[in-house]
Amino acid sequence: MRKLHLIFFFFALIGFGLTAQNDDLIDFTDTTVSSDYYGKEESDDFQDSIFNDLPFYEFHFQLVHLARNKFNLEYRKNVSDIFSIGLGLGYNYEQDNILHVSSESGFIYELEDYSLTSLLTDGVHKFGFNINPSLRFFYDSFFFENAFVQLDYRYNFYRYDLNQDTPELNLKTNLYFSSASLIFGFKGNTSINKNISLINTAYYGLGGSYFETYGLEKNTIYELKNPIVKENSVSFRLIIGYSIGLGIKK
Amino acid sequence: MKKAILILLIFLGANLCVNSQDLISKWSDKIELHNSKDGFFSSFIGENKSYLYAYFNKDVIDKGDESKKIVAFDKKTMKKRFVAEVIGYPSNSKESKEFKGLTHYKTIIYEDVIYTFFLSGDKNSNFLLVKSFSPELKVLDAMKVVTTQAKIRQRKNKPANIFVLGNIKNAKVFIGIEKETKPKTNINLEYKVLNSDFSLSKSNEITLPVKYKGVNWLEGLSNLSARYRGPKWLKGRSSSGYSSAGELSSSYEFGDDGNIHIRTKIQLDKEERRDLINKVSTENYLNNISYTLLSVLKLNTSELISTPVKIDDKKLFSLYKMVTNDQVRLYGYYSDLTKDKGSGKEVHGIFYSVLTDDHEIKDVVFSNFNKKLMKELFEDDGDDKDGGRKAGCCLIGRKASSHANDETMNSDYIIEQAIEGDNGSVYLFTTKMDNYSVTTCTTDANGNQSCNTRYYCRKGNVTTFKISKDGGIEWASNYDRTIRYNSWDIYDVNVIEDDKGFYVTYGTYKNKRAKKSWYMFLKRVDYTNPMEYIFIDRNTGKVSKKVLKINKPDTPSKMAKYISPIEITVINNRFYVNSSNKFLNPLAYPVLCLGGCLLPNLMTSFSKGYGFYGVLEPARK
Repeated sequence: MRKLHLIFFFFALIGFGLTAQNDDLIDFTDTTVSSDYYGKEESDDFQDSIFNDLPFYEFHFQLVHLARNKFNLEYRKNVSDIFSIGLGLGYNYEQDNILHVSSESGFIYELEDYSLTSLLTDGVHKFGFNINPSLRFFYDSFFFENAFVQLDYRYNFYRYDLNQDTPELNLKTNLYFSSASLIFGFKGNTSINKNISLINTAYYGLGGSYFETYGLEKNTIYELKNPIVKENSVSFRLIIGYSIGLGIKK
Repeated sequence: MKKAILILLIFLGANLCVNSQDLISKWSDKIELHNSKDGFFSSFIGENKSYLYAYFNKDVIDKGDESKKIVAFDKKTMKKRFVAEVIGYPSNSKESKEFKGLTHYKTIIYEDVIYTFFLSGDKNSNFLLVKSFSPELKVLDAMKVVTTQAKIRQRKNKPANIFVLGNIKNAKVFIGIEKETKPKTNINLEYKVLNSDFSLSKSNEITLPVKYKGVNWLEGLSNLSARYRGPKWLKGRSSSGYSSAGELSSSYEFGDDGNIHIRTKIQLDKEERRDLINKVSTENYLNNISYTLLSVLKLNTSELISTPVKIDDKKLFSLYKMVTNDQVRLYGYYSDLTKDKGSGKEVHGIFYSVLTDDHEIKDVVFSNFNKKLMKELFEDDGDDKDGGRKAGCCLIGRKASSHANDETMNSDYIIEQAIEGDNGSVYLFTTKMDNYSVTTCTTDANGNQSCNTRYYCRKGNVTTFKISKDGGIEWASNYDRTIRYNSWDIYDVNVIEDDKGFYVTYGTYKNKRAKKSWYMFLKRVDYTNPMEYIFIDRNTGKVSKKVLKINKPDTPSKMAKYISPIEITVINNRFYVNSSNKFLNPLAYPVLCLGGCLLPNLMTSFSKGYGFYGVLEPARK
């Protein structure tokens, strides 16, 4: 609930921020309205162009990922007005909620045995990292100024501890998974000043994930299968998200 | 050497000749729009010597929150020059507090002054207010009440309607009030003239030759005969058949001759029809149950003269009244009731008449269509060969005749524009307009039926007639085009002229806006967005198809303009165009999730977009 409040205030802040930034929009007027406003002459030397609203670089913060105990940042380079490349890096400070729920609800299909379920159910998440390269292609939409389709790849690494209650037999094991997705998104730019713009992006998509974990055996405690084998699992992936960021034009 | 010069001259000549039929475009810079600031382009208002003026409105949920600006563009460069806040901005708050329920009504542009009219009202009265601006949009005169009208006293009465007309050639403003009217009584029109010094003439009142019959006074109105287009007409009762007691009884125009021209649709009720059937022949019965009444109010003498547009044995429709400085001319189609006794819908020809000084229709010339004309006119028209097949072949089991064989023309034709030519001739630009609707009904499991009606307007062909001074058809030309709009009564033919001929824009399926879909993300899209138009030679009627490439092929998507044929505005023989895009900022979604639906006005502040505003004119200018 506290998190929800936090998110709400965050959006409210952005809302106020927008109002305050209106004066800097490229528009008919760039001064506050006054009673002698009528007949204000426009500047002749201003030439608007497509490149004015296209930041060269963007830094994004994946807001919805907070709900999954992830902290994700993305760097994006706009190569042209129709194509951009991005590289995201993330850190999981706690168990990924979605992953946990997916496993418990049987959404993840385990091709061999049940090591993944055991790991996610009984393991204690220590930390996790992910790296996320993506290619983004813009297309024309009648509803959104910057609509895009994105080819997205994400590689995740998680460290789990098992047998926590028996420290001398503590088993550290890893979970690796990759996912490829097709993402549709809409990006909104709001200029803060000539060089910086506030960017917000809503997106949804679908894809697939491929999990790899070491095979586990459990009698009274967990131990790795001998010889060390890896077990694979797959899942379908539905994505919905929202990110905010800054665009830098120089 | 001589040969080379000759070839060069021929080449240059040919090049100039081609250019003379081409349109060129000039655009403003890309203008970013935001609902939380200035809003979005609404329409062009008019122009004076230096500037073109347009409305920019904010999207609002409640009409009471109306926010409007007038923006002046430099006509030479199409650069945005001046802005005036008209209503809904902090600078207008004093006026809004002073006049309750203030709404913007109309703006009239003259060479030296711009009048903006407003409506407001309290418990007992409605007010018409005016404020004036300089061409640079500086306030000249503060808002003041021009006229006051008591609010409706009795529920059954037609309420009073205030309206305003302008004419740039007269530089005056006509203010009319159709007074509150009891059912079955004539409507009175009170009027004043606003002079350029903000003074008002003495008020006059006349009785219009039309009775208020009650709320159903438009029932049964024929769409065919009610359709007309005239950019200067302030239209009264709706031609779609919908009526409300709050509408004006008639359509009004402030003519170039300094008089007010009034056009009223007369529709007999059941009783009147019953009386009529015994008095007139079967042929003329059709002609009398519904007709147009043309009136002229001479402002100098306050004299009102009315003329019913009906002629024995002829049904007249698609009337186009052309008011010039020295005369009033009337054009339209006619149906010969002696040939088409059943409905009077078949179009047998074009009629022409110059109204006398007493506003009477005399010496009407009827130019009938003949087989040769129809065959030649539609020779190259694939779907309307020989003027098109007439309806009824399949149901009655015999092969239908063609319009050419029957010497008629498709009755869907309307006159969209008329332009005065040399030596008293006139050019009529006509097109087929077919309004229709499709209703689909579904029944749910409980047997409840729900129906959905979609309205369409199918437009076809651009057919032009040159009518000589004596009313004969000098030449006729046709260009085959087709398009369907998702609404009724769409007028999409716009014409400008130069000394060689006419540039005509229209809607066609061929004018498509380039769009890169998501699955084409690796494909390069050509954003040329070509606009097809035709050039019609004024002497021969020869039609040349032309294409104006709006953008260069490598134009980025966000700089690509597109011209919609129904968003072209003709002002002073120039095509003014806008190419606007409106988008939703994705930020609206989380706000919607977090309670935006409770504050709908908050959602509108997330609309943004951009626009380009331009002018199309003949290349030679």
